[in-house]
Amino acid sequence: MDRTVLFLLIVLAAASHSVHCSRDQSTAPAAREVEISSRMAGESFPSFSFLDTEGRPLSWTAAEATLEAEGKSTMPSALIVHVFQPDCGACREEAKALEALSRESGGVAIVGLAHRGEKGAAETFKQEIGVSYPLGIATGTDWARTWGRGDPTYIVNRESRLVFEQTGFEAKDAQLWRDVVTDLAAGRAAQVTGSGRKSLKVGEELPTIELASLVDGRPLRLSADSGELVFRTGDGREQRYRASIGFFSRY
Amino acid sequence: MGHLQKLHDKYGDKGLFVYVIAVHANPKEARRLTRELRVTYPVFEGTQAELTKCYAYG
Repeated sequence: MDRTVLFLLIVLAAASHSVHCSRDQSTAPAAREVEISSRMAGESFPSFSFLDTEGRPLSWTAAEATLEAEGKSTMPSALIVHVFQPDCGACREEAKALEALSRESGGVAIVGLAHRGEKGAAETFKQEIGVSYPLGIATGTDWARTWGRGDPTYIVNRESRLVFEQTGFEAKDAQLWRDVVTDLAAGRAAQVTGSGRKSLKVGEELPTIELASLVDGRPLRLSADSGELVFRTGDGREQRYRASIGFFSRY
Repeated sequence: MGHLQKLHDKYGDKGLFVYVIAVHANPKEARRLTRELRVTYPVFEGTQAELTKCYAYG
């Protein structure tokens, strides 16, 4: 079974809060971050060299900040690299937004790099979403193992320096990308170094999870109450726990 | 998910709540895989959930 564990959440009798995305969730006192992937803005973005879904070279040469794609060599003002998995729902939504951006932004180059799955899966992804920017196959490579964890999106400047990294996707992130690439195109230093949205911390409050059962569709609810975790099912059963371990899983 | 099942079997009645939030482009396929694995801990359907957008990587 091709299983990808995206995220581990361990909660020890935490308080609950409602789910909302925020760029500032620094509610945990002196918390230790357990973010999966966090790189420093300004870090050198490495070269890569793969084949795209058409079998053509798709490469980035860091020393020259040059992209070779679809038989052409360019030096974009900004390079957006989406490292994705073809069967990832969020990646699909992100690719749609990147496709929209690719149609409106001059000077910015966008590439997708599949870090899991075979060429056929990437081709299907490209066709189903209508992606026109090049998709490379990086599956099984050291580059993908190092730079693909968490399905990140990177924005790189013309010095091949990382100016932005993001894991996860919300529709409003597209505006963030626009702001960054606009800054870079104008020769300004981009100020954004990441959304911070996924920065889970030890001690962070457990969000109430209120979703249907995948198996039978019944409503399920996990919340915290007075130092205990309370799990309720749609038929009214309630059980209390001292701790939980949960995964987002793509299988 | 198999490892989680072992945790659930061993510690489920000792106060550990084990769960998965499924994030799959095809929930039907995820359901099939989940049944195939015979997991007995809860699996939430989270593909389109706000929680997933906020917290899941990818």
